[in-house]
Amino acid sequence: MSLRLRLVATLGITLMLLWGLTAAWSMRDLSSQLERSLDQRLAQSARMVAGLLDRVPAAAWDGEMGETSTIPALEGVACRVSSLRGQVVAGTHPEMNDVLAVDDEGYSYRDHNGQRWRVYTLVDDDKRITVADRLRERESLLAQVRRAAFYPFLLASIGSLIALWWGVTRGLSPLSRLQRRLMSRDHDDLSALPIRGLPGEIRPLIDGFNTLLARTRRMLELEQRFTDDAAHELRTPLTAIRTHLQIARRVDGDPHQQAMQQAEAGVARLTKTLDQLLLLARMESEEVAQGSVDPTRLGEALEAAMVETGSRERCHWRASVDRLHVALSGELLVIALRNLLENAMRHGLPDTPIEIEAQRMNGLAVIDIVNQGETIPPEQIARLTERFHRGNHPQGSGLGLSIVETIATRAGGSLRLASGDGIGLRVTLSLPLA
Amino acid sequence: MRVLLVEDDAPVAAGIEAGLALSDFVVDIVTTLDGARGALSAIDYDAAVLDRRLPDGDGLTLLQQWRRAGIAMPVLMLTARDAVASRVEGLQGGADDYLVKPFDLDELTARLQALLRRSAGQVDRSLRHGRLALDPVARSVTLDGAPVALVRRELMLLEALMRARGRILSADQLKDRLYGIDDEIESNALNVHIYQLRRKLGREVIETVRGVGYRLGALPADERLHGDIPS
Repeated sequence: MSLRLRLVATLGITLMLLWGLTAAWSMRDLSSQLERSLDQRLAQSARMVAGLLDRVPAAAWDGEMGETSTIPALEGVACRVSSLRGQVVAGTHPEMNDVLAVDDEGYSYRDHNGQRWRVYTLVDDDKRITVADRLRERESLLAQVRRAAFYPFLLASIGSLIALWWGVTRGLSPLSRLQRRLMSRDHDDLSALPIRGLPGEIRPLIDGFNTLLARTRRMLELEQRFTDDAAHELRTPLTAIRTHLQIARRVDGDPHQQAMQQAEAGVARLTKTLDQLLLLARMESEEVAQGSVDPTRLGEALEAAMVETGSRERCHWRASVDRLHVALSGELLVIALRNLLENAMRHGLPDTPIEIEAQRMNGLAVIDIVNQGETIPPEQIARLTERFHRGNHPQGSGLGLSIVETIATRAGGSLRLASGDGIGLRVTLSLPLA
Repeated sequence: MRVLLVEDDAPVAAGIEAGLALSDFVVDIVTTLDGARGALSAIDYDAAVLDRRLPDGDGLTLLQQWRRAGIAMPVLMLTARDAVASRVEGLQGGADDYLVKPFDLDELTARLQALLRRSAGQVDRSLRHGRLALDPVARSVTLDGAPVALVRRELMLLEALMRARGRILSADQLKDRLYGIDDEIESNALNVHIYQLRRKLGREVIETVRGVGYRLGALPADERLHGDIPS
């Protein structure tokens, strides 16, 4: 149900009820007021007749005695003057005895020929004066008054309903504008919606919406960059392979051999990049279990990693390394260390030692791998763990540090990088202790 | 033809260089935008093959700088991004052609030759000069329809002169077309090639302009310099 319809319905029904109640109340009030004032007029006319009769000498009465004077009748009004003994002195409607022959003083209702009358009887000294109003006249008067009062009511109610509709529509117009703006946007338009001119109630909503849009935009950008990077990393070795194979087909002898070697080197590089990519994808999708794995002795894993990377000659490590047990599967720990050692070999100056230290700290095994070399500026350091960021070392796949960081954070640890003060790169890998 | 190759990936660059050398292109490799700027200021290249993703920035920004500086040299862009938007961006940025990695070596060569042909205002595949015709793709020369046997450098020299269409080229400019930065050049090598060309095609084919350089000469029995333009 639309907001506007709901508002208009709720407010409209309430308004109509209130108007109706007010109208009913005033109508009821009106009829009782009208009845009272008409009754008063009836009584006044009786008193007026009595006053008039007082001025007539009593002789005039007696002289005429025995003969009833009849006044020509008026439609809907009747009057009779009689003596206390019941003898009619003067009056209208001599035939309306059942209405006008009243003994008691005061108001009463009487019927005559199926019509109702309001009767008032006044007893004044020796006379009884009875006046009567036909109710039909009273009712038609009441109806006229009611009609006169009803039309303004009706007009006011219709007017307020229209005003209500207009007001609600106007009040909701920022929402309609917003709706139109949203509908007219391109489906892939992720730019923020303008906040200016929006009422305070909607602003937090649009603020939230814009934050969401910004986050989506950032995610899409990252996604796009990753796709571009992956395309570049996979297509470049493919280009080398294809080009060299085409050359090999056209030349003989040494150049042929060279071209074939280049093509094979390209295949090796592509394989390595693919392996790393798949590994990264596996790391990101699989749970790197915490706690449930068999603890791995750091010394063993380091040994394996050094053998795999051929870096044993250059590595210097302390005995403390052997005593630590890490809550990470042996396979993953070797992958992480291997990537870090490869990186140290590549970045470090040739023939300089790679220092490895390990210690316990706050329930974590903190492993430092330090190589000598050029200082890396801080803004570069921050980008080193980005996927496919290779710094100035085109040999690598650009995924090694990303893989290590993924392994570390998944296992509940962390990876920190630092450079400077004679140190080329200090990689600090923190992993939970077993 | 001398081509500047801006590509940071060494195996790819080596492959392109070797591949283009098969079609007698002389290729200089630079790996950065800065290197490309330096090379272009030193040598007058016939065309450039420009990778987009380079260590010191986007190849497209360099191309835009070149175009703003009025450098009209044909440029073929290489990229790993095959999205239509990125191709359009490249072409609008001033590239004359666009190839997505991995490409076919023959296609790269053909496209480069097409770019060179267009930049020389040449309509048909062969370069023509009177009775003389040179097919840059087949690497063959005919005189009056009869094939003439030329060695590689002689053919490259003739091609450079024919592409110049009668403009005078200095000895250094001719050497630039024939030799890469790393090639060792014997002092009289150019003279030897010129002598051989004159011997095989007739004395008048290369005209020496004293103290300035060389240009294509009028061949006897045909006075037209630009035989390829229909009148």
